[in-house]
Amino acid sequence: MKNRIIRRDFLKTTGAVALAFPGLSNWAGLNWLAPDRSDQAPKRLVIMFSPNGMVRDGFWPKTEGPDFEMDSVLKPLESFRDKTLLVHGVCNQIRGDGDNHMRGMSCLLTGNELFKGNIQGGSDRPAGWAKGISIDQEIKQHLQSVDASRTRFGTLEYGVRVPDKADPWTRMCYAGPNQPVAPISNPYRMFEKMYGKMKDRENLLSVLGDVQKEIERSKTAVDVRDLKLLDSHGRFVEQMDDDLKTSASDRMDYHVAPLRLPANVVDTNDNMPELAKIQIDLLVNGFANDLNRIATLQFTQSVGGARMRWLDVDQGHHSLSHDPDNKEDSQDKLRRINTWYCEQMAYLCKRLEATKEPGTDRSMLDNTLVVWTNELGHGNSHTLDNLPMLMVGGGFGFEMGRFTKVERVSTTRLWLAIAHAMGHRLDSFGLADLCKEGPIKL
Amino acid sequence: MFWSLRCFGQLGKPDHAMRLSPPFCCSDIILSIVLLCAIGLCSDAFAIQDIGKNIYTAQCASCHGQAGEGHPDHFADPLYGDLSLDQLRQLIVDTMPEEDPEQCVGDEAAAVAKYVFESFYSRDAQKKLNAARIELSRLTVPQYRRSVAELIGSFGRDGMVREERGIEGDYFAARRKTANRRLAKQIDETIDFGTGVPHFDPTGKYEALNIKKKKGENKMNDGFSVYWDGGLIPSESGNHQVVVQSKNGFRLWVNDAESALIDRQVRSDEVLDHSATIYLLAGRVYTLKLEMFAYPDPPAKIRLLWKPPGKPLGLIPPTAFVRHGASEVAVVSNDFPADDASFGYERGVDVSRQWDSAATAAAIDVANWVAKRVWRLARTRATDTDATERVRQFCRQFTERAFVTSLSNEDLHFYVGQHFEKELPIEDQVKRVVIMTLKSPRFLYPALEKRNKDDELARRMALALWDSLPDRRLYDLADRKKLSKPAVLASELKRMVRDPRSKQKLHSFFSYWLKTDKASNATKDKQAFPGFDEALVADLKESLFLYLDGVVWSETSDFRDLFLADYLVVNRRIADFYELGQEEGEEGFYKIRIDSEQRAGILTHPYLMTGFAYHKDSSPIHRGVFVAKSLLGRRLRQPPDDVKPLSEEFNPKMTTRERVAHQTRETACMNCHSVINPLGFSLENYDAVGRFRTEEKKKPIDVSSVYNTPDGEKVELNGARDLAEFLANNKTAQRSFIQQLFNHYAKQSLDAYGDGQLDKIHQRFVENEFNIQKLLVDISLMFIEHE
Repeated sequence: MKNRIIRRDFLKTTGAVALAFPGLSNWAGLNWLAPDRSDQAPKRLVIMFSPNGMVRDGFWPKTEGPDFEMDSVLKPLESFRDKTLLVHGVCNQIRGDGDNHMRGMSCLLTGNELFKGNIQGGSDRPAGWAKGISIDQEIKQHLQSVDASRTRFGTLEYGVRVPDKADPWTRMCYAGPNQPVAPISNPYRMFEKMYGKMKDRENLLSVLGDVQKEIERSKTAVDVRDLKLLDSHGRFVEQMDDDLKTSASDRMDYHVAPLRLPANVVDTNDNMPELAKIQIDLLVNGFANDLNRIATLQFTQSVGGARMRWLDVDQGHHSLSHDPDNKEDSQDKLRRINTWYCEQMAYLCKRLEATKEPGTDRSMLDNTLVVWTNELGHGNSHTLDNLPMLMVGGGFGFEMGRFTKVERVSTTRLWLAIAHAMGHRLDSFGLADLCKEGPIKL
Repeated sequence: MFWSLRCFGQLGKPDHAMRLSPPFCCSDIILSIVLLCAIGLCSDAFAIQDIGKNIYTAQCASCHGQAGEGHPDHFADPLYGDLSLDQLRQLIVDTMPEEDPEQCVGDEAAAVAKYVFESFYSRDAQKKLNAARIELSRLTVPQYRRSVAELIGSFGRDGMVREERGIEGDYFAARRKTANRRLAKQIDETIDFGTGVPHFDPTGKYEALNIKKKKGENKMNDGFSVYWDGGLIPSESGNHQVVVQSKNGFRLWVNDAESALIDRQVRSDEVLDHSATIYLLAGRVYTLKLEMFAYPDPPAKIRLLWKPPGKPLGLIPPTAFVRHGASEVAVVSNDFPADDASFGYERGVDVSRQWDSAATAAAIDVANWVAKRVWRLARTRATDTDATERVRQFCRQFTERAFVTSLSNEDLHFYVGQHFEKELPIEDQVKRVVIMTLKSPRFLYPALEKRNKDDELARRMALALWDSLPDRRLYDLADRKKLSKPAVLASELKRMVRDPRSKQKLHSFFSYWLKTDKASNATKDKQAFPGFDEALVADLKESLFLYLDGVVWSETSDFRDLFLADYLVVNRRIADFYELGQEEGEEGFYKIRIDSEQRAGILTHPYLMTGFAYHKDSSPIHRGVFVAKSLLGRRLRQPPDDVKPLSEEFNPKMTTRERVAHQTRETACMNCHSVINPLGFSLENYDAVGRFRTEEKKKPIDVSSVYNTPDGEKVELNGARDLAEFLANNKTAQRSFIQQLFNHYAKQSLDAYGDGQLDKIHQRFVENEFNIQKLLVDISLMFIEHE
């Protein structure tokens, strides 16, 4: 961290950036680029969400311990068996206003109730936003408060096909009570957020030479008494050009190049696989440049109705999830859908595994905990019990490589345990009553 | 503030002694000249010129500079002004040289006066010395902001500004728009539902609709929703705070029809006020949509308010709503350094580092904005096979419209083609075109471009009347070479003059001409003026501009009515405070006739009288200076900095007029105050908040005075009505108005457009019976048709 501060002061005193562009001083975001040499084992967290509950057969193994079955939905993760921890028995015990999909979503990561409000689902009482901060944002605040773990963004919220509306079914991240955080579903928007300032510089730099030429050319067409004006104009453009070039070569580079996005991938249902891949690539790319230590990856929304035609599933996911367990065709489709989600998880893990932690030879996966969860335990019963909780990664002290069952443990205790594992020693998280027994031991 | 002729300095300055030893004294020179003349060496005229010059060089130049330019150590202000030759002579007799005014009197003073007057002091002399020219100028900051908005706007739907005001509301007895549950579709003047006097009562309509009740449900249980949709047209430029007061679910869109400015669909708390800030340009139409639903718990209540810059928070008035919105435009909202206004109007004659940085930041913002919406702007979709080609076409049009010209093939490659040759995402290609275009001198300096005649007309018309780029109609006419047809040109100018964009430009002129900023933050003595508050000040400003609009946009549009009209535009608050008549049932502003002996047009408008006044007292000096400089175009020196007005304690029995007269009685002061005071005294019937009064300190108000014109004419004035009559019919005042209007519109000096132009326009002004709208057209024509 020290290096970074010195560099920033240097830029300030020489005026290379800050003074040259008073109107553009917010470009200083580039100062966050350097990976932190003093923090060689940063801890990273990804929370991945998929909707509508989990199919029981094919997901939950029959055997506890290290030799649990991974032959159906979990098959894509088989090569990560040693780094996988699957927990059965974690329950969202938040009650109060709102239907189960709503509470399943907005109370999942907050461990807190919903405010009274005007949004009604099913026949339950209407409700508003969650009353508390979500665990990803809570840990982010902690990481950002410490020099060694502070990054430019702290957290980035990725979405894939999250509909463009804001309600308790579409928001799982909260910066605080009544403060839902919208995920960014459009990869180009996300890219702009991550690298936009740098792109602005590149684009500007690419035209400044031509602008100077134009100003020179204009001089031949004006009264000599007007030359002064064009002269000084030309000088400022030239100066900006010089300053940008100097500061561009002077600044510390990205650890890895910003991802090159494929052109014009439109945000449509059928493009979901491609969108998912880009978002995952971006997520890993952002980690590799240490823009953030925490990420969430939200597929659609609770009640999400993606039609996975690429799996030969024409119905929407949500309506399929209502079918009874004995309807084998639907069960099969739900298995296929969730296997696809598992593939996304596996792709993410592979990308993390193949990426080096900035400045080290270690695999990034070892420094990361990836959690995959859902707003419901099971689709047709709408239960908030036994939510799928699957973790892959370095573990941070959890005993990985096994499937374990616990007896009805509140989500809040799991989040507390993850906060501790990430170095944030909170006493309690979410509703205090549900967190009395402290972090779950895994 | 206090005015006097400082040119005669003050005794006791450290350098004073040095200046006391002239090489000759006046009488020596006179003696020798007289001798020369006596032996017939020169003609009289030559002699006088020469005598004057010699005296000036020997006696005056050490302080005033060889050509009256001033001297930094002695008397810094340059020697020019608008006293008549005789007034100047008298001044010299009375005050020069300052150490002994007796030294230069009689013929000597006359000779010096003549020399000074003809060589550099008078307006004509100055004109000869500094031949005005049309300077190269960049877009001013307001022009830049407007041009960008217009440029983007030209790719979308224009806001239709018709006379009908208000906004359309669509009411439903359901949570969402449901055709068979429509309660009403109507025009609402304001958005203020369910809180005050209801202009619409949904409960009655429910019965009429005969909506079937489900068992055990009340009739509102399906909810209630309203969809307002229309346009918003602000009258100020700057950051507007928009506030929605409601505990129901709602969403509000302004300008951007895709992402809501305030999204409160989810009601999750009991907060009533929800606000957001947005930068808006005066005279542009923006889309405004507000949808509200009350579910599951009526009652429904919602109000839409705003706080425009410099005004208090209030309901958005009916005048700010128009029936149709316009396509979203990019709004440049970052800060720019202020433009040079040293000539009294904003000009783009300097470029600073801050300006360049700000313009760059703006260009990047616009580039990002455009790239984000490129498919809509280019009227294509990413999936279309010819998408790239269409985006290129859009880029070409973007640049051509920014420069108001057609690009040559070479140019096309330079501004567009080269970026598309690079392997870049299409967004970056577009961004580069936009940044390069907006940073190009061809956009920033409108006069650089060599255009064909029609394009040049379009460019200048938009600049003159709107401070902007042409709208699509103008581009089209120029493309089809129609604009150069006199009839088309004339009808377009007429259309443009009446457009809201031109109305806002005229507002900014009026603000400058009438120095309305003086009153905007006025605070007054609470004891002397109970009830005079911020809200009243804001209403007064509104009242003044409604009055100005009323005159300008009337049939006759008569300049003289600005001074002579015998009505005010007021609302209830103003009528109460100033004890004017009430109009029954009037909610907003209305015209009210007033005693023409008591008030006269803008001259006595309480907003101006408030601005040109102190905390508790009127200020004849401020008022006099305003009339002299702004309305009569007289040149006055800057006042000395260190003079404070005599306070009431000086002599509690003295009236304001008496105190001013006492303090400015010195000869040196009177050189300016003989102009200022009579004008100011004639407005003494108006106290510090512009209320009419007939006495002060138990003495009757004395408004009688004599004003000396630069031509040496003496005008007897007996109060505001006399002054108004004088100003309305005075050629100097009319010419001053024309000149200032031209400067403001063209952002160039009228003198630069050739000798006699002012005479010509004034002549037309007289012929057109002082029609301001026609004057605007004439002024624009002068700017537009100048070679």
